Formats: sequence, structure tokens, C-alpha cells
Amino acid sequence: MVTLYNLIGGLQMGSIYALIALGYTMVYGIVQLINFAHGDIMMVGAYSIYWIMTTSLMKAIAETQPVLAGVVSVLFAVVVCVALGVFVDRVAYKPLRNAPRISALITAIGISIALEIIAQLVFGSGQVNFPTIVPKVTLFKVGRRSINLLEVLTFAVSVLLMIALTLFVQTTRTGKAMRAVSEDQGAAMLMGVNVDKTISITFGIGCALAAIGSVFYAQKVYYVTPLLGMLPGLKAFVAAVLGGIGSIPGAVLGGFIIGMVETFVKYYASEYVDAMVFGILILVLLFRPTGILGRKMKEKV
Amino acid sequence: MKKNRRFTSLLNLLLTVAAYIVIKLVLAAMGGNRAITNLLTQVCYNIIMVASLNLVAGVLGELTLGHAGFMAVGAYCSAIFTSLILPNQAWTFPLALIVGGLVAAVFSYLVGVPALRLQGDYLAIITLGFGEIIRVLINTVFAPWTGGGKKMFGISLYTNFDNAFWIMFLTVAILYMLAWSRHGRAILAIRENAVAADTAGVPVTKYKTITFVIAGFFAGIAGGLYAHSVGVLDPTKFDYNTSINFLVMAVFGGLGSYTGSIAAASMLTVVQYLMASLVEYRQLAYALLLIVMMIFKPSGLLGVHEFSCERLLEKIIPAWKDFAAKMENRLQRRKTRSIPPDIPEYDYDSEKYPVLAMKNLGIRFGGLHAAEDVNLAIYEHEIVGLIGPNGAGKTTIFNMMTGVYMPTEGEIELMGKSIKGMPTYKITYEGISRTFQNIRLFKSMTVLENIKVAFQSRMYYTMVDGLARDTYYEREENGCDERARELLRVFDMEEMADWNANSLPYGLQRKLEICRAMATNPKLLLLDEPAAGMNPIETQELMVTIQRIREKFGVTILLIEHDMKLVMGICERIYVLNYGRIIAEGTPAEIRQNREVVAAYLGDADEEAETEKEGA
Repeated sequence: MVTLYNLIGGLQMGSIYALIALGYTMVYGIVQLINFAHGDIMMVGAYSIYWIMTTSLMKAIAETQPVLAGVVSVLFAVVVCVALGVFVDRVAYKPLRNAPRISALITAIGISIALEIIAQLVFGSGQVNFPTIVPKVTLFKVGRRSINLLEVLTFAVSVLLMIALTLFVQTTRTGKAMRAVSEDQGAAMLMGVNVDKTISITFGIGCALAAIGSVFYAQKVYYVTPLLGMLPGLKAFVAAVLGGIGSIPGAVLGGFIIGMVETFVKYYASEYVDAMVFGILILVLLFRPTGILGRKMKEKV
Repeated sequence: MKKNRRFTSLLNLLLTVAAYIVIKLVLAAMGGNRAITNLLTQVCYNIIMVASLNLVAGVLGELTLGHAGFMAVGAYCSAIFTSLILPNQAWTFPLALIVGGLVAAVFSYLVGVPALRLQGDYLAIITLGFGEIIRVLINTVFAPWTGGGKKMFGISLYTNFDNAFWIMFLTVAILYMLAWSRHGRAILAIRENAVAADTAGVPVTKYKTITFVIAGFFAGIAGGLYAHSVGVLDPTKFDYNTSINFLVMAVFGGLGSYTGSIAAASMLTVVQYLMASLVEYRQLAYALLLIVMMIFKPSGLLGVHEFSCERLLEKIIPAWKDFAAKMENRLQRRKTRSIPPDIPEYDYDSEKYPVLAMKNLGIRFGGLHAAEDVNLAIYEHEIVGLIGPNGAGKTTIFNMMTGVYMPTEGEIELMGKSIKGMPTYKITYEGISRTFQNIRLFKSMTVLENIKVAFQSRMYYTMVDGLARDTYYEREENGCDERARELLRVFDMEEMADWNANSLPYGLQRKLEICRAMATNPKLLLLDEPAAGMNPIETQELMVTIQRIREKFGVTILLIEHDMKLVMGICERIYVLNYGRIIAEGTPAEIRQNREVVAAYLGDADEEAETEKEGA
């Protein structure tokens, strides 16, 4: 019973981590940058929904058409996050494409802090209640464990998005361009790929996934704070490294593993959850630094 | 061009004492204002934090995001030492600081070992994780001693401005001394180009770890000072934001510059004090400062340069230079003998073994057999060419010889001794040295320093010798300096000794790389496309240089090259590689006649092969 209970919780958290990890892994794959601000983009997504649901127009819509209101607010969050992600890339990361890695990394940290502080100044440093987008409805029961709509939706939407993303990267022209840029930017440029546009699209997709992840996450915990994105962002990053950074199926696999581990550990010893996740990271780095599905990435000599 | 080292040190010490006296006088004039004294004490331990962070992020070039975590370890350990283990005894304070530093060093070792073996940004993530975990541990596992989530009260206030100031001075002096020793050069070389540092004989992982441990130690010391200055410890004071605060200071001062660290830590600590009520705006300003600086002025206030009062004095007082040189002469107690790096005696019987032998060597990358069944032998004093079409596996063979790749089958012997599976820097010790297809220099270092890095494997003075500037240090450094200049003279580059490697024209960069490879005193020199990108005249000069190296140093040379004029002109024997296999071996004349070789280069068509033969 305990196992089943945790298994379902693990799938739910795993889906969320996988969605966020995809953003990390795609951006890393294409520009070799750990986008420290990715978790904070997710936080911005959660605040966008909070904000739009407090407007009187949306309040009115929500009373009569709750589903429509939910969909509109989620779309709004996606648009905000995509715009923000592309903006950040263009303004802060693009000038540093040829700079030492440490410069871009420090910039990413700067963006991350800036977003957190701005959120703090706009919405206050305390928690605000996250509105109900997905109603609390029990759908069915497995044994004595009731399974609610949010859990099903989280899992289903995530899996659908992952399949769509894989198809997109594998079959479309843009997907091909993305793979080409991640292999060799110079060569891709010479073959007529618009590198900057491709990188922007990658950031955009990553941020869209983060926005959707933020909905599921904030809906689960029912609050938003300026630091909402920090821990999930970090854990998703660990998931991406565990799965093999740069690999899309790796990020999904890593996300689910981290989600499962976290849920099970939380049940037995909640104060050690975070330590456990980083413990996994250390073990991965010690024994398989390229992650489970990662390619060998050695500097060419 | 000899630096006035002793005189400069003395001058810096005098200036520090003067600064100390001035600060004390000002404080006395203000009637011993407690708030100001505390602020100045805080400046001191913040400088220690920022300088040690600069060692990792600036000098070594690895990002660490949990520096406050090591500070926390030092703070708690020293506080536990003075309040629980040996309570109320002031003499234990220095001991407590050292204990705190050592425990922090142990933690940084544990954190550094898994992350620093790898290239990439893993250290950033793992230190970020460490910063979070350590607070969890303070709150849970170590709660009986640390007070857990509650604060730890009643720590004796042993820290005052005086001891903080002098400990800060000592720290900066040690870090500075470290920078100007063979160890410091090695660390810089790793930042500039880890692969080249490895082939120059620098054990990269070892040095990265040592550097990180030293930084952890000093962060621990700063933590101890902090604990005994504020008297209360609260785990939340050592969070991510605190680590970032220190990082901002280091970036602002200029990553790589200690004097920059000092300036930035002093300024920003005071700014923080003045803006204490506006924490959020300050943090926002910091974040924007980070972004804007990285984009527009990534070098910070001072870049990688150090502020030197001597240079300033030279500018203001014209006669200063002569005076300084005279003083330096007087300060040199005696002429220290110089010991040039020894020339290793290779234990090798040239009658019995070739210099290098590859036996049935092969390597697989996944399904691809990049090299297969390679047999080759190179004898003393030969110049041998390794040619083949692009992608034939030539560089792969070099990479196996130098330990960059691990062969999956076969054996490599250097002078009768197996070197298969050895790390690159050890193979350099054993006597193989190389250059790269795409030039890999330590770009921001001078030409002379580039060469000196390569003496690493034959210098023996320890880090302590380097810090104490004792006779071992003096002798070896002087010897290394002489030998490096000698070597540059052989390559006609002596007058460029103090140029930045980056500022050399292309042809000289290639030459410098060869010169650096020779500084490791190899038995076998590997040249990977030395003539790539050179015009015919430069190639002609290069041929002369290569032959001169062989005559002068008695070294054996194996070179990869596409320029057939060079290969046919200076190689005594040639191996031809195609699809990872040796397809021919012989003198230039034999190779030119070989149908298989011609086919490999020009395609299989017999007619074409015929025309080529006639043409040759």
C-alpha cells in the first residue's frame, strides 16, 4: 500500500521534474550553458497565472467558464515564459556566446537572482495562494489510494508533451536545425541554418515546458513564492545530469528517477530529501559522469 | 629583467604596516567607535573569503557557488572548539581557527574530488548542492553541538580588528606567494588550457583539487573569525545568497586579481553596511551588476592584473627604478646558486629497443575501429613521418601515445617500457611530448612562462618552499629561468620572452609550442601538422628548425603532416595510414613509388595512379 501510494506520487513529481529537466538539457545541448535561471522562469510562470487570475475579467470568466479560464491562464503563462526566455537569451546570453564559459554561467546566476528579487518586489517575499486551475476531483481509486484529476493530468500532459517534443526534434525542419546547431554551430551556420533563431526557439520550447511544469507544481503545493523555482529547478538539473545532459530521453528518465527517489525518501525521512538528491548527483559524477543515456563529451584534441 | 622580488615584498610589508597604523590612528581619533571597528573587522574576513574564492573562480577558472558553506563549516567547528571542547581559554583561538580551516579543507576535498576530475561546470552544481546540504546537516545531524535550527549562542568574542587584519594580511600574502611559484604557474596553465597543461607535465586533477582545498581552508579561517566576531551563529546566514555576495565581490574586483578582490571586498562590504535597510534593492543591484559586468566588462575592476605600488612609484619618481634595483642587490643575502632543471637520464638500451614501439595497437569508438593492428617502431635520432588521408586516424595514434585515449587493444612501449594506460602527464615525464593541430598555448601568460610551465615535471621544491621563498625555491626558479631563456635563444625567440603568448604572430605561436614541448626534455617529440597554415617560406624555415632541434637535442621526432614537400624533404622514413591501418612503410622514395599509397590519396583509378607516378 505504501509502495503504491508513493509510486503514484513519484510519477506525478517525476513528470514535473522531467518537464523542467527537458529545458535544461535542450539549452545545454545547444549552447553548453547551464541555464541557472530556468527554475526562476518556472516561478515566473506560476506568478503569471496567479496574477491573471486576480484580474476582474478572468475572475468573471472563471465563475461561469472555469475550464476556459484555466486554459487561458495557462496559455498566458506559457506566452510570458517564452517571451521572457527568448528575451533573456537575446539580451544576456547572446553577447557571451564566445566568452569563457564561466562568464555565461555567472550571467545566468545574475538573471536568476534578478528574477527572484523582482518577483519579491512585485509580489512580496511571502507566499501567495495559487488559484485552483485544476479542480480537486477524485477520478478513481486504486486500492485505497484515490487518484485525483491533477495527478492524472500531470502525468498525461507531460508524456504527451515529451512525445510531441521527440517527434518535433526528430522529424521537423526546425528540429533538424536544432540538432545541427548542437553538433557544430559554425557548420550549421554555413549550411544556411539561422543559428540565433534556432537557439531562441530552443530557449522558447524549454521555457514553455517550464511554464507547464510550473502549473502542475504550483497546483500541487497550492502556493507561490519568489523562491518557488529554486529547489525544483536544481533537482530537475540533477535529473538532467543523471539522465545524461544533452539527451532528451535522458532528461525524462532522470526526471522520473529523481521524482520517485524523492517521494520515497520523503515518506521515510523527509528532512534528508534534498541531501539525498545531491548525494545521487555526487554518485553519478563519480561513477558515470556522462549520465545514464549521455553521450561521451570529451574535448577534441 | 630580473624582478626586484625581495625589495617588493619588503615594500609591501611596510605599506601594510603603514595602512594598519593609519587605520588605528583614525579609529583612536574617532574614540574607538564600535560600529566602525566591527565594520572594518568584517571587511577583513570578507577579504579572506573573496580572495580564496578568487583563487578558485579567477585563478583556476572553476566556478564555486557554495563558498559560504565552507565558511559555515569553519565557523561552527572553531566555535565548537572554543566553547565546548576547551571553553573560556583565549589561547585556544588560533588553534580553533586552524581546526575550523582544516575541517573546511576536508569538506572541500570531499566535494572537489568527484567534480574536479571532470571538464565542465559540475563544480558549480556540486558546490551549490553542498551549500544547501551543509545547512541541512547543521540543523539535523550536528544539532547536538550546533544548536540545530536554533542559533548557537555565547561564542567568545576573540576576534578583534587587530587579529583579523593580520590574518587577512597573511592569507593574501600566502595566496600571492603561491601564485608566483611553480604551483601557481601550473594552476594558471590549467585555466588557460587544461589539455596543454596536461601534456606539459602538470597533473591537472591533482592541482585542481589542491587549489580547491586551499580555498576551502581559508574560507574556514574566515568562518572562524566571523564566528568569534559576532558571537552568534545562525545557519541561514550561510545560504546561497551569501555565497553569491562573495562571488559578486570577486567578479567586481576582477576574477584573477587579488588586489582587485581586496578593493572590491572593502568597497562592497561598506556599501552593504550603508544599505543594510535596503537588502532587496542591493541584491537586485548586485544581480544587475553581475550581468552588466559580464557583458560589458568581464574583466572587472582590475582584470587579471595586480595593482603594484612599485609601478606607480616608478611613474611618479623617475629615479625609483635604479633605487629599487640597488636596494634589491643589497637585500640579496648572497648570490644564490641556480640549479637548472636536471636532464633526465633515460634508462634505455638503444641497441635492444626502439624509442617507441606500437604492437598490434587498436582502438574502438563504439562500433568504429578508428585504428586497428597498428605496428610501428621508431629508432633513436630518426625523423619519421606519419601521413595519410584526412580521417585516417593519425591524430588518434598521437592521442593514444600521449595517453589522451586509452587503446582498446595492443601495447605501446617507450624505450622498452610499457606506457599504455598511463595518464598524460606521466607519459610526459617518461619522455614523450607533443604539439597540437590547433595551437594550444597558455594565451594570457608570457612566452617565458609558457616555457616554464613545461619544466614542472623536473622541479621539486614543495609548496612550503614556495611560500617561504627559501633557497630551494630560489635555486630552482633561477635555474628554470636561465634554462627557459636558453631554450628560447635556440629558437631565436629570446627577445620575445616577456610578450604575451597571445600577441605572437601565427608562425611564432607554432614555434613557441614546439619550444614548450622541448622544455619537457622529451626523448620523442610528436608534431601534429606543424606546417598547417604556413606559407612556403615559413614551411622552409620550419624544416630547418626541425632538423636543428634533432641535431641540438638528440631527440627523436615523429610528425604528422600533409605538406609533402616537408615530409619528403626531412623524413628518413614514412608510415602511411589509411582507414586506421598502416598500409605502407619505407623511405620517401619507396613511398612515392607505392601504388597502394597513391591509390589511397588519389582514388583507385589506375590511370590516375599512372599519371601521378610519371609526374613524380
